[in-house]
Amino acid sequence: MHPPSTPRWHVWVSGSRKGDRVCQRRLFDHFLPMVMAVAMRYMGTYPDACDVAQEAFIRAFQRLSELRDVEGFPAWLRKITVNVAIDALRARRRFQPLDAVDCRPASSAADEFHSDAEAILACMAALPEGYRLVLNLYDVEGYSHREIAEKLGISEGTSRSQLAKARRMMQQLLKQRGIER
Amino acid sequence: MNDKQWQMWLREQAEAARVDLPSADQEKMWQRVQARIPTSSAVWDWKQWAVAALTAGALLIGARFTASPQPAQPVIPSQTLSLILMDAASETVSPPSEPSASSASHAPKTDAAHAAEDPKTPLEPLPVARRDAIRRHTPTPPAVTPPAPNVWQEDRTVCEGVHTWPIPPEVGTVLSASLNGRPLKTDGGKVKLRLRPGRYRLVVKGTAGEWICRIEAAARPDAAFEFTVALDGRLMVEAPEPVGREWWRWDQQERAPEEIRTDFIAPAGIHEIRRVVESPQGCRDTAVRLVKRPLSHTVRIPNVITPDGDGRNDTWQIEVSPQPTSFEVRVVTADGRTVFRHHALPVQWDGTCGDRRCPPETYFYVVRLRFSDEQQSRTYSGTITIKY
Repeated sequence: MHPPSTPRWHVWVSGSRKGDRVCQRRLFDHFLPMVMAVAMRYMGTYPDACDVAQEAFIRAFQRLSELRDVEGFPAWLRKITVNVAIDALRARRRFQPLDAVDCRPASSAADEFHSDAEAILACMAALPEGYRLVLNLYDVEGYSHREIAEKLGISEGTSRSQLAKARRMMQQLLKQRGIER
Repeated sequence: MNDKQWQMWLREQAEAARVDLPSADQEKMWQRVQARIPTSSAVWDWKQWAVAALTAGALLIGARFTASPQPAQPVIPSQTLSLILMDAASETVSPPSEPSASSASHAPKTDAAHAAEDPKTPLEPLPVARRDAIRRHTPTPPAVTPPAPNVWQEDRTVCEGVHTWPIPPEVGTVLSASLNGRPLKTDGGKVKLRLRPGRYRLVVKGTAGEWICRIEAAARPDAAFEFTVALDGRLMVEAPEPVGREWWRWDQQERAPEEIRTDFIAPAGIHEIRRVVESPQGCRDTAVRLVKRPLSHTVRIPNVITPDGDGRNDTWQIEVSPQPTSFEVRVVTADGRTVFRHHALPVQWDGTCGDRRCPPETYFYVVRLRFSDEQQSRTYSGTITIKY
C-alpha cells in the first residue's frame, strides 16, 4: 500500500489536471489509504473519516490546478485532508473544554495490531477529540502552538496544556497495548 | 525519550499508517467523488493544440492540391478526431503504462475513447480508410470546459452592508458555507453576509451541488451634509458634490439641487430637509435633517400717551406680531389699583379710569402673551405716562 519507490502518480496528477477520469481514479485509489489514515487520526471513527476523505479528494481534484509542484502532491493532499478534518470538527461544534470530556481510554484488550502504526491510529482514536486534535497538529503535522491557537480559536496556553495531557494519555494507551516508548 | 524523539517517532509512525477500505466502500466513495469533480476530455494542453493546428494546416494545404471535390462525409465527433491527433502525438500525451491488475479493474472502459485515455491500454491504430475519412475534415476547435453539472456559478454586484440571501434549493441540504474561505452560518436556508467594499467568494456546498457566488460589494456613498440658517432665513448648505446623483426634498417635496444649494429661503417654522445620494454602482444613502427657523416676534409698547384730542398719541396701542395665542394687559396705579385691563388685541386705551379721565401721572403696566412657537409665556412690564 505504500507509494512505490519510483512514483508513477505524477503522471496521474498531470492527467487529472486535464480532467482525465482514469487518471483521477488511479490517483484516488493510490492515495486513499494514506488519506484515510490521516482522516482516522483526526476523526477517530471510520464513518467520519470516510466523509473527510471523500471531501478531501473532492477538494483536491477541484483545486488541482492550483498545485504548483507535482512532486509535492502527497503533502498537499495531506494538508487538504487535515484542513477538511478541522473544518468538519468545527462544523460539528464538538469543541468542548477538554477536562469536561470523558477521558477514559477505550478498551483494547481484544485488539490485535499488525504494526505500531496501526496501534497508534487505534490509540489516537481512543483519545478525546480535543487531545487528538492538538496532538496531531503539534506532534505530527508540526504546527506551532500559536498556529494551533489561531486555527482552533483557543489560547496558546490551552494548546500547551492539552498537548501535555494528550501526550501523557497517549503514552499510557500505548503502554497498555504493549508499545513502550 | 524526550519531546523531539517522541515527535519524530510519532510522526514516522503516523505517516506510515495506512487504512485500507473494503472495495465496496472504496467504490461508493469514488462514485460520490467523481460526481463532484470536473472532467473533460475536451481540455487540451498546449501540445495537443500544437498538434491539432499543424495537422489542420497540413490537411488544408493538401486539400488545395486535390483537384477533385470531396464527396459529403459523415460528421465525425471531435472526440474521435482528438484521438487521432493524440495518436500522432502519443509520446507526449499518453501516460506510461504500468502493469497493475488491481487498479486496472477500476478503470471504466466504456468506449474506445476511454480506452485510449487509459494509460495502461496502448492505442490501437485505426484502419487506414477510417483515418483518411477523418483527415478530410477540418478539425473543430475543442469546446470550452463546461462547468460541472452540479456547480452553479453566479456573479453579483451589491452594495456594502448586511445581506440575507436564500440558498438556491438546487444545492440540496446545505453541508457547508464559506465566504472567502471562512465558514459561514446558514439558518433556515439563508446566508447572512456582512459585506464591506471589496470582492468576495461565497461557496455553499450541499448534498446535491455547489453554489459559487462571486460578489463585488460596492461602497455606499455618504449623503451627510451640514447647513446653517441665516437670520433672514437664507439656507446655506455645505455638502460635497456627489460622485453619482443626488436628490433634495424639502418637506416631502422634491427640489432641484441648484435651488437648495443657492438662495433658498427657509420659511419660519420647523421643516424637514432630506438628501439622497446614489453612487454610479446604484448604492444609495439618505440623510435627513430638521431645519428650524424661529419666528420674528415684534412687541411694541408705548410708554407715553397724550389723550388731548389732537390726533397724535391719543390712545395707547400695543403692536404684537405675529398674533399671539394668548394675551393679557393690565395697567395699575402706583398704589396698586387697576385702571385698565384687556385680554385681546388690538388694544386701544384712551387714558380713562372708569368713566373719568385719568390724572396725568405715571402708571405701571404688565403685558403677558404667548406665541404659538414658544412653550412659555412672555411678560413685559414698564411704565406708561399720561400727559395732557
